[in-house]
Amino acid sequence: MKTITRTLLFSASIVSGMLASGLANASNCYIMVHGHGVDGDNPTSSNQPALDSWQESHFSEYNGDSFFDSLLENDDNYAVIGYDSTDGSGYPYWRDETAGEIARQMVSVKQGNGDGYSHPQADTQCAASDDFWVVSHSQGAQQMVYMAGNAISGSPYFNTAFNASGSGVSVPFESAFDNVLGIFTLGGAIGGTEGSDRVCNGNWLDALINLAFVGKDCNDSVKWLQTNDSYLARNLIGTNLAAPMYVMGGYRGFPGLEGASSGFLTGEDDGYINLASQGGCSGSPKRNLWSDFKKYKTFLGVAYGSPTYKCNNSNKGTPRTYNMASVYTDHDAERNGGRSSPDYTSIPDGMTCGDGKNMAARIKKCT
Amino acid sequence: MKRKYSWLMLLSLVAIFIYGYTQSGYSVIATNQLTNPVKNSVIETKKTGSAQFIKATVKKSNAHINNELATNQQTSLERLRQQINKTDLQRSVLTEHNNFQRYPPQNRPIESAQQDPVTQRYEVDERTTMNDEKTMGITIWSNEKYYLADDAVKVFAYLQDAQGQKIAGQFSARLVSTQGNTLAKFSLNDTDNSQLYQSVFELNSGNGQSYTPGIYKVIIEEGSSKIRDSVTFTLSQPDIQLTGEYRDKISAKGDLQIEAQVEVSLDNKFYVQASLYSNTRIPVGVTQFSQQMKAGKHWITLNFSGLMIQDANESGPYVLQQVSLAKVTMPMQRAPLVKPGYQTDSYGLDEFSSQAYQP
Repeated sequence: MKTITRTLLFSASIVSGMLASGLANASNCYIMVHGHGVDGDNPTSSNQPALDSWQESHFSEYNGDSFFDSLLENDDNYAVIGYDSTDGSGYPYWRDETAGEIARQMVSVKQGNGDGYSHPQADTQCAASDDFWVVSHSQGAQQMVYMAGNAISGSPYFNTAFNASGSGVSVPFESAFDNVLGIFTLGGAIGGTEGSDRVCNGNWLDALINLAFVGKDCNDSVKWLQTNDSYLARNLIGTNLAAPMYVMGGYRGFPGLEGASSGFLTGEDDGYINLASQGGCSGSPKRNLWSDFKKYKTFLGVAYGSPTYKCNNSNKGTPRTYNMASVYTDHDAERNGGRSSPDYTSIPDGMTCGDGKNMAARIKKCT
Repeated sequence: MKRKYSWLMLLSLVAIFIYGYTQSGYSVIATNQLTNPVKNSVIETKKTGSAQFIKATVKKSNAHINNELATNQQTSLERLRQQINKTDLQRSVLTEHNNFQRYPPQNRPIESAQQDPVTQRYEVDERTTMNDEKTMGITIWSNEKYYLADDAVKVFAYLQDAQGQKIAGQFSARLVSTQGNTLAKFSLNDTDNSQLYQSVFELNSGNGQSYTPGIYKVIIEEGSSKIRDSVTFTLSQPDIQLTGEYRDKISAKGDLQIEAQVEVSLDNKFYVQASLYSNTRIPVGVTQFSQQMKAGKHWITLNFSGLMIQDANESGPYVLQQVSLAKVTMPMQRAPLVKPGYQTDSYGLDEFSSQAYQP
């Protein structure tokens, strides 16, 4: 009798243990929100710009690289969100065609409807019971701030985007972020881009970089990506974001073009956006930060003494915003997974999971 | 005797078998989810003609259908909590969500005065732009970020060398509208030989020229270095103001409620954000209020979580330190920052709720 009882208890413990582990092992679903310059809202089976934006490159050095190669393992899933962020359309981040479209697609993905894209990796469509994380690059981060910052009742633009005539449109921000564990920003234009400043201030130098990432026209989309506080999403949100936001900053110039791109940026940068903006730091997005997310006094360009400012978790310009990592990678490699094992710098309140990996693999290791 | 319990063993084995089967990914029920583009509906998705897509969706869907009873009963956070080995990010997510869920989402504690979000929204944007060689730079700012129609705008600039020392410069500027049209040109002057250059201009010049609400830009260029940058400001017509009447109480839920009277001059949606400090000016937290209001006087309620006050460990009286009023348009038309200094009754900490927020 005792033997049988023990056997039964053992069997029961195995069953309950397996069930418990099953509960704790839902798949991760990474909801991918691309950056500027992607005509992502009308994909076809042969033309999927939003998906391609995570596996194409502006520099031959990264040809063949894909963000998903570094991001996915085991049962991980992902969902591509596509919206129209092109200069041709010129939609600011608060438009129905941008923020509204992203929100609707996020809701649909979380309902288990799939993203409608043909994934190169089999069996990677998200299910309704997955654990949801948002991964955003560049303008995608600005989108997230506006959307998550207006996803809580009482926020100024709660569940609201705007149409062409300037009227408010009801959109599902609240539902979009319900049950989202966290938002990752990679090279996020949280504080705008100085490239947009130059385009809109009329002193553009016609460099290749801006042509690739922002264009040369100060359309409304570019206008609302300037670093002036008046244009930033952080100025248009409520007291809280609906999900915590984890920032990763890149501080490597573009391949072969470091001087051309980084020269006009303040502080360290990823070739296109400086670290103060990527870090969502408080104060001016043009703050001169070093790769450790700190500002120092300088003499002849060399930092000295104790930091005069730390962009730690207590010095963010948006609520629920946290440091994750500062990685030696550029704005292009951030989104295509180029540079698999870049160097990195420890930052205040940063995460150590995934140290030594690129941004995609850090997400994989940390989640 | 053994035979008496053999059915239980059999049951266990069946349970193990069922569990293993549901985890295998094989399909019991096949469903195609080939759907249409998302445009204006939350239940539509984009078209795809990919067989690979169909296969992937079917396989996953079946696994989740079979596990539905198990997994859907738990949120992602609960699953994360159960995980034995957590990364530092996962620990951060759990801690962060726990902290966030302590208070109503309209509330947020303030750790220091510099982190007061109301302060941050009005903080002057002092901007430094270096030349590409990083040998010279200009620093520019305006005295406010939000102006009313009758206000004067002050802009400041200085030129600096590589060590950050001010040096003599020559600054010109132009005021640009939201549409990019140049509205005025002027220069900035160093009136006291401090190498700080400034200019003042009236938004309402009195000669019939009036600007409409919106974002304006002042593009400033230093002549010798050719370094250029801009400051922006919002010309607001907020159509809402505080009347100066306040009252306060502790709500049935144990929260502090400060009611403020506002006067609205135009039907619109308005947004109010306010920060609460202790009587000794220790920051406690921030709250928000948003509502469509008709023209006239209204009492609005600023709710501060009792637990947030308890966590600050500061006894009353409390001070309504800063209030931001705004008309919700795009862009948002904030009124100049108000510091009412209104002081509540001398509530004791134990009068407030110590219960976490219940949605």
